[in-house]
Amino acid sequence: MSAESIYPDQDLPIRQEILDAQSAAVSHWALPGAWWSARERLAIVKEVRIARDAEELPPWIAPTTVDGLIPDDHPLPGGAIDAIWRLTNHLGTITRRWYESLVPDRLSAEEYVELVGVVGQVNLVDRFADALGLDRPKLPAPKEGEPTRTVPEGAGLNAHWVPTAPVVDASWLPTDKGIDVPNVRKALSLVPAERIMQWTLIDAHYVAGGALADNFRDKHWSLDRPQIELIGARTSTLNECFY
Amino acid sequence: MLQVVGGVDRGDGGISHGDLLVRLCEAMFAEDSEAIAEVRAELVAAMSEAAFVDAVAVGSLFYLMTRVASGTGTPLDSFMLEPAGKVAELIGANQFASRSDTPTS
Repeated sequence: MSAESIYPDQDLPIRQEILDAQSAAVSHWALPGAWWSARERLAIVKEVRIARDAEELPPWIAPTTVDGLIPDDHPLPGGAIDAIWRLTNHLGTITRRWYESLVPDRLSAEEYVELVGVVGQVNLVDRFADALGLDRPKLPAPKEGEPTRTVPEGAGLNAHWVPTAPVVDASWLPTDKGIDVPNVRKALSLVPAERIMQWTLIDAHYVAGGALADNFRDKHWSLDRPQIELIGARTSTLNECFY
Repeated sequence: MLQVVGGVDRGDGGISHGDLLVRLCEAMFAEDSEAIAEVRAELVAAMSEAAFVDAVAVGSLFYLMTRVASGTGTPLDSFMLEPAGKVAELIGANQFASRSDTPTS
């Protein structure tokens, strides 16, 4: 999807980096992933939208347990559907115990990490569109191809609940300052394409290179850095995210 | 600023237009289109339309980042450990379910 076509017929001053990054994300959803096919990845996107727009369920009720809510011919397994709804609508209730109820019995760790990446990206893009009063981006047709099913070298359980892998590319800007990659940027490293898309979206929407990349007094586009950090901190608090 | 982040204080937290930016975050979280429209008008008047769009962009990013962090059990970074102890109490984050399940090393 081109940057020009993601939000047609609008004249808001949306920065080109944002249009480019969100267009790349939408195209990325329609590609075969590492563990999900393109059709399944687009089903993840659609399920996030369904979950957000549905009458809210209490967090302890999984959508797959509600009669008639999920079609019998849904392309995703029940574990994926339940994870999508919980991550989207009840993030503050997510615990390690909940994660371990899903992985590995209902989803593999690799499938789960890829799903978290896509769910997060859709939440970003759609909430951006909704807040600006724009139509959510239309979805492209799925691309042919099989998931790669490749696990990066060196992957294993470290400090996160999910396995992670070493970040071996040179895209971490503050490396020369001797600062290690922050843990939130390593979180999707089991599925490198999702980790790279997360970093692309960070650079476009936040501060290129991340929170440690520049001086706290610098101005970015139309906002001061303290204003940016206030928005990030308040949004994280509303989502009850301790990290 | 921390009281504003935690929603305890309704001021600007010492940050220019902080009160409006916090109201935007809260309206986005509530998915309240009327509240978004109200704060949009005030932000555009006080800052600019570009600032409103950029603020929405930053806020939206944190719907990705929070899902990645809470969904993967992302541990606090070493540089966060000391300030986290002080900040969490002030903003009420010690009450979050994710607090007990966020590894600290």
